[in-house]
Amino acid sequence: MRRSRRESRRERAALRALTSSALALLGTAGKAAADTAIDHYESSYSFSTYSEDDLKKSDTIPGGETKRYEINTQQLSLAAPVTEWLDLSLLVTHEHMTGASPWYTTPDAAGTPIQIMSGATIQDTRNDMRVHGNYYTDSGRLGFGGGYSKENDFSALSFSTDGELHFNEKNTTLSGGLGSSFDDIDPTDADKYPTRPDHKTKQSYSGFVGLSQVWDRRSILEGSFTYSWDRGYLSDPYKEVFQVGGVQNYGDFRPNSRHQFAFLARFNRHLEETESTIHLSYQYYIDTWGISSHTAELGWYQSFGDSFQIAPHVRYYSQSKADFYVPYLQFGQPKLEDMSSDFRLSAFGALSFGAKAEYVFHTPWFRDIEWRTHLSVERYLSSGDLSLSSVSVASPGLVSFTVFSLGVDVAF
Amino acid sequence: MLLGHYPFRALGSPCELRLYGESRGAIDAVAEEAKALVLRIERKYSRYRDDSVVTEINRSAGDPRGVRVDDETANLLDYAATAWQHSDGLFDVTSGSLRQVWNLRSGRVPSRAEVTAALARVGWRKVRWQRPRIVLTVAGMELDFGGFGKEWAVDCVSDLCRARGVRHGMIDLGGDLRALGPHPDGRPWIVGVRDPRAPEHAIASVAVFAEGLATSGDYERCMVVDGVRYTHILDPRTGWPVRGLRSATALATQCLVAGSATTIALLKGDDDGARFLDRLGLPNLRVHADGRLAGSLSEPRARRSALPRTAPSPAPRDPPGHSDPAPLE
Amino acid sequence: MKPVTRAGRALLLWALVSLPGLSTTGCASLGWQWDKWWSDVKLPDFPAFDEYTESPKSYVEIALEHDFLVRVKPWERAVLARHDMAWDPDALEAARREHTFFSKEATMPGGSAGGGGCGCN
Repeated sequence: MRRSRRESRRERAALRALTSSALALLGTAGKAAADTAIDHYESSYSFSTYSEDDLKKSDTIPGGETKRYEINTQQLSLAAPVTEWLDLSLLVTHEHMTGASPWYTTPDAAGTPIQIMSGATIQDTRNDMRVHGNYYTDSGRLGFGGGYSKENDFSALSFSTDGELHFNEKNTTLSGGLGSSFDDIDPTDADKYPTRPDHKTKQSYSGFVGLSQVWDRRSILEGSFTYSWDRGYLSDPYKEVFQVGGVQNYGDFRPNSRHQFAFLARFNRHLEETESTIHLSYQYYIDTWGISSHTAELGWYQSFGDSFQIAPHVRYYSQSKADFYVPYLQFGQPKLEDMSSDFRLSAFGALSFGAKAEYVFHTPWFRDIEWRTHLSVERYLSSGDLSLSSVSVASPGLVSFTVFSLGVDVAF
Repeated sequence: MLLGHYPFRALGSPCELRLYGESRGAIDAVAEEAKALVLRIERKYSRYRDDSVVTEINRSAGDPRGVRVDDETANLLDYAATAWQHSDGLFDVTSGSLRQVWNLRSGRVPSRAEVTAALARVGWRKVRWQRPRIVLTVAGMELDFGGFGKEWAVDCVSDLCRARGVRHGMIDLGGDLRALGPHPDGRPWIVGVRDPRAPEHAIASVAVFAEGLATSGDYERCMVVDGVRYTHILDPRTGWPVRGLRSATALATQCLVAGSATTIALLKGDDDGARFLDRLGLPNLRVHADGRLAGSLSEPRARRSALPRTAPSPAPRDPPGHSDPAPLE
Repeated sequence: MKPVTRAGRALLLWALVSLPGLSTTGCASLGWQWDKWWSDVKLPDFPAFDEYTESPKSYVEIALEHDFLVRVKPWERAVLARHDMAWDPDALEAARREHTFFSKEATMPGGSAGGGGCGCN
């Protein structure tokens, strides 16, 4: 009985293949299209907000600041076709941050590091604008992009180019790109804090190459390699390193060069029986600061009919510590050339899970307009226990937070 | 509504167009266009013509450069590749070269050695097909679109007539047919299915509203030697004629799909072919090797032949059972 | 180990192991089709020559153009063209999440050439 059901499926698949092939032959299905520019306008808007969990009282000094960041982000994007082989897009981000940020870690009575937060409440606004254009040919696509980002104490100018080449009747795609970013860092209150530099610059150059292959009618996989070189001022001007018995804190000193390597593999598969799509991805990362990390993500997009979809997802992340990460310097320990107590360079793991609900509908106004609305929530937890490597002492500054986001996409 | 009846000969068979229209001039024009389309297809794809694309491809067999083909031919080859893939290699357009050893007019059965030698030149695996270039890697290989060309022509003509506004009519090219739509009063076209052992008679009839209908049978071209029937349908894997179902008929939206389904069903043999047709999900009718009728169209609900059998005639033009008003002459 | 991390690890392990199997045509079908896949493998000679245009193939073409890699025909791409089959169905959300994780972790996001920094290191 089972065997005949599977064979029935084969015959039905055969009928489907023959029919669609016949339709293609009879010219009603449209030719195999080479890539062309998008043929409609698209605009998206999204609002998201999250607040980082307060520091646990045990992770800081008694009576110390426990509040952390609260961040609201708004994004707006527009994409438009210019000709059949050219399209342009624009993405604008406006982000507002308030709160306290980790400053330095110091040992408590038992020697366990605790996090001291910057007392002053920080208020920062980030505005970011990116443009990107795509030029299409018979065998692929070439893209150009640029961006400008501005915060109170930071500004960056970036350029990038990327492209795709198709082979094997668009079953195999080779992609690659180069990018660079030029950052200016002007820390606030540099005159008030001796460890804070006045004006610094940073340059970042990166490139990637990727290969994607269609596995079958409903699966596709991709592998890619990304390399990035950062040079210049790579330290965090707002963080310090505490020395037991020291007169004052040292600044955050990181090497002025960093080479990063990331290997990413991802796989998408659509399951017709359950009307769902699975996304799987894994990335291994390693750099010259001694940090290596693993990122694994799983997304399950479950459709209910044509208009409604719920997509839960889970992400696991684990990183090792940077060679020069120290929670604090011991009494009498000589100053290190490179040292940082930033929790982001410590060894930890993070687990995040969330879900997105999406509703699609059409309105037949001057054109058929497709609306996509979505609501999503995600909870991110990080802790030393979640790390794959054994962590003797986790940084007390590790953060957890919950994000709420809603958005709408319009295509017309 | 006037009915125009346009018989002509093409693709090696008697063809008929029956078109309903408002004015004689209009349907005459559509019929002319349709005939021209069929003749163009024949000119372009007949392997018996020197100037056809198929002959050009066949001449290049053995040449590693192959032939560059246009979009229409490329789509046909893609269809042939799809059908080959989904029939486990039974539907194979390279089986044309087997006709060299199986000359049905001669009445001679080839020897095993001859068939094996001919098999070396058969097999879609020996074809390198990647748009827009086709290479027949073995010299002497031949492509033959005869297995699905007529059904495809039926679909092309139907699309053309529909595009010209003809909503009711029937396109019949040598027994492979497609209804554009039922008669203007809603009555379906009644099509008779030939009795494989008495092809001038109908063994059943089928009501067609707006689908394609195709039949494959072992009687169409065959020879009987020493009481054994050798049909024109050759199994590309063994090189020998297939044995099993006497005929299979299927209904599908595209005549091309119906035709491929019936051809594959015949190639699969008695039981497997019947199961294949049922599992495909197409309404079908088949005559088994023992003569019994089966298939969803053979049920009493479907209109069985209630019409009297016509007197036998040497070269019948109509499959018996067609019912239509007096043609406009 | 705290319960949430134990649960987290268990969940991850379960997902990675069972999801391909859960799919009724998952890993089992990949294995079952494997020999069909390789039976048609035809690797080109090296250096390869495009007989039709009579010019040598570039190394990229030699490496990437193989008959057995044409897995899906153009008219079979309906499912692949689904909105949720894109690598990032929601571009805005992907950009935002990438930026958020980048500001809390030490890893750069892979798969794209960097554009734009932020002051978050």
